[in-house]
This record gives sequence, structure tokens and C-alpha cells, in this order.
Amino acid sequence: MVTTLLLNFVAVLFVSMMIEGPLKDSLAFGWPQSLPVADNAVLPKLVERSRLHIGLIVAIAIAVVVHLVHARTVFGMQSKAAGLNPKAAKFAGVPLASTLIKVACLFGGLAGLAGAVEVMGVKGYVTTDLSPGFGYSGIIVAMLANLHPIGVIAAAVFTAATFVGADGMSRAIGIPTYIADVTVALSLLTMLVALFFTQYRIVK
Amino acid sequence: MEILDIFASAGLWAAVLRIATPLIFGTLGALMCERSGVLNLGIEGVTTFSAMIGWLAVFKGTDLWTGLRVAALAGAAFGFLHAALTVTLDLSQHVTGLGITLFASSLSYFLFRLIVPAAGTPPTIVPFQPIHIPGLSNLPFIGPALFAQTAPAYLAIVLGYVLFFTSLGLAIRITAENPHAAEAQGVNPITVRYGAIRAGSVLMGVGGAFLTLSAFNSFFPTMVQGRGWVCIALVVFSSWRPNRALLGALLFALFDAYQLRLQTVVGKAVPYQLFLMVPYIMSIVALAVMARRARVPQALIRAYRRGKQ
Repeated sequence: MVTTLLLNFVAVLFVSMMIEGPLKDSLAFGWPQSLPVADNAVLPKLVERSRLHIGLIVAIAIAVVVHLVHARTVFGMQSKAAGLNPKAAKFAGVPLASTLIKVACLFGGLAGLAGAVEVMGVKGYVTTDLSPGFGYSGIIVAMLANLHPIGVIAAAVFTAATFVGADGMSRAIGIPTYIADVTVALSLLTMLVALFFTQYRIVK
Repeated sequence: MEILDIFASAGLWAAVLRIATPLIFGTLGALMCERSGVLNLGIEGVTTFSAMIGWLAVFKGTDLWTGLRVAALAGAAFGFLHAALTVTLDLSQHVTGLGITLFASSLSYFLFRLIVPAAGTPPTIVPFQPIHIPGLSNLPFIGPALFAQTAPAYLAIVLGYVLFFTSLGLAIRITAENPHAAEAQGVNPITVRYGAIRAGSVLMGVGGAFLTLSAFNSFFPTMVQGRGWVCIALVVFSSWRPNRALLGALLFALFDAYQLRLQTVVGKAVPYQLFLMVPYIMSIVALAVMARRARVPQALIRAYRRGKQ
């Protein structure tokens, strides 16, 4: 758990090393950013002259696939069991270690896909401040969706709306954009408490 | 050998103690929480917020000690929030901790931007000055740093004493091992956990305040740089013992100070980012090696509910 939090810094430093070294864009006036993505690797746009690109469809498709895997396959069942009660899962014959490693790899792959889509669809090049906390937002989105893959779509739209709204507020009346992070983090804590009250009854 | 010469410079050892101080506070704070059975991943955010609020208080005209008190109070407030969510409401300690980290750090960036207008160079305050004691301060190596360092080092000893040689410490430790047994002995696990989390968060807050009131003289976003996570790793490294936590923090600080100086010696040949990675990779390696041998408090991350096993 803490290992992944620490690896964050290692990964960002690695990106920083690559874009100041082999991938450096010599035309970027000294800004640390990478060479632009090759033209034929840029994701096609959904709507002309907007930034809406095919990544959205991919994301929704993946949400559906993850939902199906989670709800309808043996692997989904095993990972759920491992999460709910590792001891019982092991007793029932779930290969704990390999399931956990598979889930971790899949999750890492999806997170990597998120980064790749952002670069190939929106930005067109790599910088170290590419992700304004997308990873942490991912945790929040997952909790807001109550860990349901389809709910993730709605939760992600809510979170994105908050961030875009904060950008607008920042431009209009100069409120720091961090208000979005505060709102989203508060919504996570609120959601946690709300979930608690859906699962328990107050007994007098 | 230039690479070994670094170890002979007094500057290195002063830097070690400077880097170690917030880590010692943070690690002892996290250790305090975990010794009562609650993992506090809010540490990163609590440190950030306390660093900001302590700095802001001084920036707005209070004296440094008041700034420190404000930071400690902020730590206690977030500790109370964490305790309310994890002890009373029995929510996941991992997710709550991360939530508090996200909330506290974004709140501190927001308040900072709201109150302090954006400027090219961040505004500064006059931080704590090193204490010079005539005679002693002039001793080579030990002199310059030792007296700024006494507070946190003594703190580790005091905490070790409280945890292992007093009945209060026994109450805290038994709560982390078996809260039901604690309850049977007349110790209220809920009170103990609330107290330990708040005390631990105060320590984290003081560590954060040290960053802006002593190590640097300004606050800027992302300045905490994962120190909180390093502290959590150091707690495991220390097997939940304050004396080893002190040692671990010093060791980590030595690596950090050494790589900073190594950069200037061999920095041309190797990208500087590789050096910056070293402390994080070191913590992961230490975690992997020590986690096997560590004796984890048995009820860590396990919620306590009366009358329910």
C-alpha cells in the first residue's frame, strides 16, 4: 500500500528524466516536455474542433467490460472473494497471491491507459505535470461509485464537472482552482459516512 | 576518494539532522497512532496543512511559538476527524486516511492561494534561528546541529518511556493488541484510540510546522513531497519501536543528505532524477526487508466495537 504511494514519486522522477533526456523536445524553448506524439498516433476526435476524443468511448467500453468480468466470470468472483474475506477465499480454493497480482497488474494497466489516452488524445506531448492528481481522483471516483464499474461513469462525470466548474470560477472571479480538490475530497469523506449509514441501523 | 570525503564534512551531518527532524516527528506520530491500533494515512495531508497554517500564522504577524501551537492544534483537529471516522464510525482506515490527506492538502493549497496572492517568488518569514551555545556550538561536528536537535531526539526517548514503562503506555499498547482484553481490564479502547490518534496527529503537525518555520522560510504546494509516506514506511521499518524509529529516520536522512552531495560530485554523468529516486527506493527496500521480521500490533487496522468479536 505505502509502496505504491512511494513509487509514485519514483515514476514521476523517471518521466522527468526521460523528457529532459532522450525524449526532449528541442523546439519547446527549454520547457521540459517531450517530442509531440506522431500524427498517426493521435486519437481521432469525436466532435470536430473540440477536445472530445475517442478515448471517452474506450473508457465507457472498458467500464462495461470490467463490470462484466467482475460480475460474470470466475476471475471476477475470485477477486471479489479475495477482497471481502481473504481467509475464506483461500479456504474455498482461490489462489490468493496470483489473483492479487493479476488484479494489481490489470489496475496498473488501466491507469497506464488513462495516461496514454490523455497524452494521445488531449495534450499531444508528455510533461511531468500532465496529471493534476488524476490518480488520487481515481480513488475518489471509485469510492463515489461505491466500487461499481458502471457507477464509475457517473462518478467520473461528476468529478470532471467539479474540476471544469472550478476552472470556470477561477477565470470568472479568481477563486483558486484548488476549490475543486477540496470539494471532491470532501465528497469522498461524506460518501464514506453516508455508506456507513446505509449499512447500519441506529439501535436504541 | 571524493565520494567518501563527503562523510567527513560537518555540513553533511548538520543536514542529516535537519532532514531527520520532521521525519522523526512524523514517524513518532504515525507510530503513536498505530500503537493504539489505528493506521493514520492522513499524515501527508496533516503535515502539509500544519506546515501551511503554521507559516500563515507567522506570516500574519504572530510569533513563531504561536505558529507552532496553531500547527499543533490543526494536527489535533484532523486527528479528531480521523478518529471520529475510523474509531466511532468504523470506516476503512486506508480510505479515510487517504481522504483526509486529499482533503487537508487541497484545503491548505486553497487557503494559501486565497490568502496569499500569487507571486513570482513565494513570500517569506523569519524562521527559528539556530541556537548558539558559547563553547559547545564551536565543537566540530556535534556542536552546530546538536542543540537544534535535542527536542525531537528527547521526544523519541520520552515517547519510548511513556509507551513501554508507564501504565498509560501499557493501556495504549494493549489496545493495539487486543482491545477486548483492554476493555476487560477497565481500559476504554475508544478513549485510548481517540487520545493516541490526536496526540500522534499533533506530532505530525509539529513535524510539518518544522518544515516551514525552521527548515525553510516559506510555504509552497507539494513541499511535503511524500515525507508522510516515508514516515509510514519508517514505522514498519522500526517494528513499531520509538528508539528504532529515531534510528531509521536518521539513517534515511543520511541517505538523503548524502545523495544531495553526491549529485555535485558525480552529477554530470548521471541524471539528477536518479539520485532523487534513491530515498524512495530505499524506503521500499527497507520496508520489504523489515516487514518480514516486524511484529505487527495484532489489532492494527481492526476496528473495535463493544460486545462484538
